[in-house]
Amino acid sequence: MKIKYIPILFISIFLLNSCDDKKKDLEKISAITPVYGTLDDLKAMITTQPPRSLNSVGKIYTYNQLLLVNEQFEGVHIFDNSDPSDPKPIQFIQIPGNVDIAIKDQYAYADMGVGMATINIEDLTNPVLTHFDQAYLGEKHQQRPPQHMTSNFSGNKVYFECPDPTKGMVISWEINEILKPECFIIK
Amino acid sequence: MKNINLYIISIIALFTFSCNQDATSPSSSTSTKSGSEVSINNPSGTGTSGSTARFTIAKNHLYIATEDALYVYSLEKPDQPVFQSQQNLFGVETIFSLENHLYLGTQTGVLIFDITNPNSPNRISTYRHITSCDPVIVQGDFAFSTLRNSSDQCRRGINCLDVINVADKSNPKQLARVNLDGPIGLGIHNQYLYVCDNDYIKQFDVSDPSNPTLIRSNGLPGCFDIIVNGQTLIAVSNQGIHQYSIEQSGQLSSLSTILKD
Repeated sequence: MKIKYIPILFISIFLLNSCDDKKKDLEKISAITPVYGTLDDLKAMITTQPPRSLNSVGKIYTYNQLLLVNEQFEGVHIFDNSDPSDPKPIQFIQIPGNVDIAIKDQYAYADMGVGMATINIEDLTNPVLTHFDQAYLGEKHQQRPPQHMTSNFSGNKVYFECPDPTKGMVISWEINEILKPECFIIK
Repeated sequence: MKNINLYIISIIALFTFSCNQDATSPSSSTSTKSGSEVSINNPSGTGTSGSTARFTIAKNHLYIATEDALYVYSLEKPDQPVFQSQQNLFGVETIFSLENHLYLGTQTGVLIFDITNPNSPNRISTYRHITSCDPVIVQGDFAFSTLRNSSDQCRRGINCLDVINVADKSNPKQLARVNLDGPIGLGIHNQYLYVCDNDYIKQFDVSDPSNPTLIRSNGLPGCFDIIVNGQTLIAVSNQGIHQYSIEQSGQLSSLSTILKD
C-alpha cells in the first residue's frame, strides 16, 4: 500500500530541491566585498586616536624608547617605554588591516592587508602616509580578500565579490550581505 | 572542521574570561602623556621585532615574508620604498636577520639566505624538519628554532626547541633538540634563552648550545612572543604585555604589566 507513495515522495523531494536551488541564487549571503578608493582615502584612514585599552593583542615591536603593540587588523598602540616599569600610553595609530610593522629612522613600514604603508612618524601626533605599495601582495591582492577575513567564515567555501579593476584600487575589504557572487575561496 | 570550531570557541572563551580580570588598561592610566611631549629622541636606527615577525629591516632594505614568498624593498629613499625582487616559497611564518643573512622560519624548516647583495637574497641552505610551525632567532653561530603543532597547519607536527649550528651557513646542523609542550616565540640574552611554551616562559642556559638546560619556568598563560631589549624582556600573551628585568642569574623579575581590557 505504502509503495505507491514512494514515487510521489521522490518527486516532491526533487521539486523541493529545485526550489531550494533557485532560491539560493536569489538569496543574500554573507560575503566579502572590496572597498575601492584612492591614495587620499588611504591617507584619511591612517589617523591617531587617544590611547585605548588593549583588546586583540598581536605582535610587538620596540624602537628606541617606544614600545609598539599591534591591535590585530586595527592599528598600533604606542607606549613611551623609557621606564619599562611604567610604560606610558602615548596614543593609538589606526592602520586598518595591520599585523606587522618595522621602523627605520622616522619611517614605519606597516602592512594593511591590501598593501604596505610607509608612514612618517617623526611627529607621533601626526603620522603621515608617504607611500603605499601593493607589489608584495603580488597579483592576488586585487583578486582576493586577505586570509584573516576568510578564516572567520565557517565552512570551506568563502564567497567574495570579484574585484572590478575599472572601479579603482582595492583599499580594504568588508563583509556584506549580497547575492551569491561568482568568486570564492576554498579554505 | 570540528577541531577548528573547538579551537575558535576556546579562543573566544579565553578572551571572554580574560576580560574579567582587574585590568590596568592603558586608557585608565592617569599619567597619560600627550604625544607632543614624546618625540623620537634619536630618529635613527632600526627597531627590534619579536621572533614571530614577518617584516625585517637589514642593510637598508625591507624584507617581507608572506606565507608564500620573500619580497625585497630598497629603503634608499626611506619615504618611498622601491620593490626590488621576489622569491616564491612555501609555508613561511617568520623572518629574522643577522649581519649578512636572513633566516626564515617555515613549516618545513629554516631557510638561510645570503644578503651580500641585499636586492636579491641568495638562498644558500635549508635546515629541514617535519611539518611544524616555527620562529627562529640567531645569536653568533647558533640558531634557536621552536617547532609546534598547535595550529591548524601544523597539526601533525612536533613540539620542541631545536638548536642549530649555523657557523657554516651553507650547512646548518642540528646540535640539540628539547621536547616542549607548545612553544612559539623566543628571545635570547647572553647565555639565557627564553621560550614561550604554552603557559610559561621557560628559561634555558645555552652556554653549551649542544646541551640546553632548563633552569626555571615563569608562569605566563598564553605567552606567544618575546623581545629582549638589553636587560629588559618584553613578553606578549593573550592577557597583554608583560615586562621583566633580567637578573644576573637570568631570573626574570616583573617590572610592569599592561593587561587587556
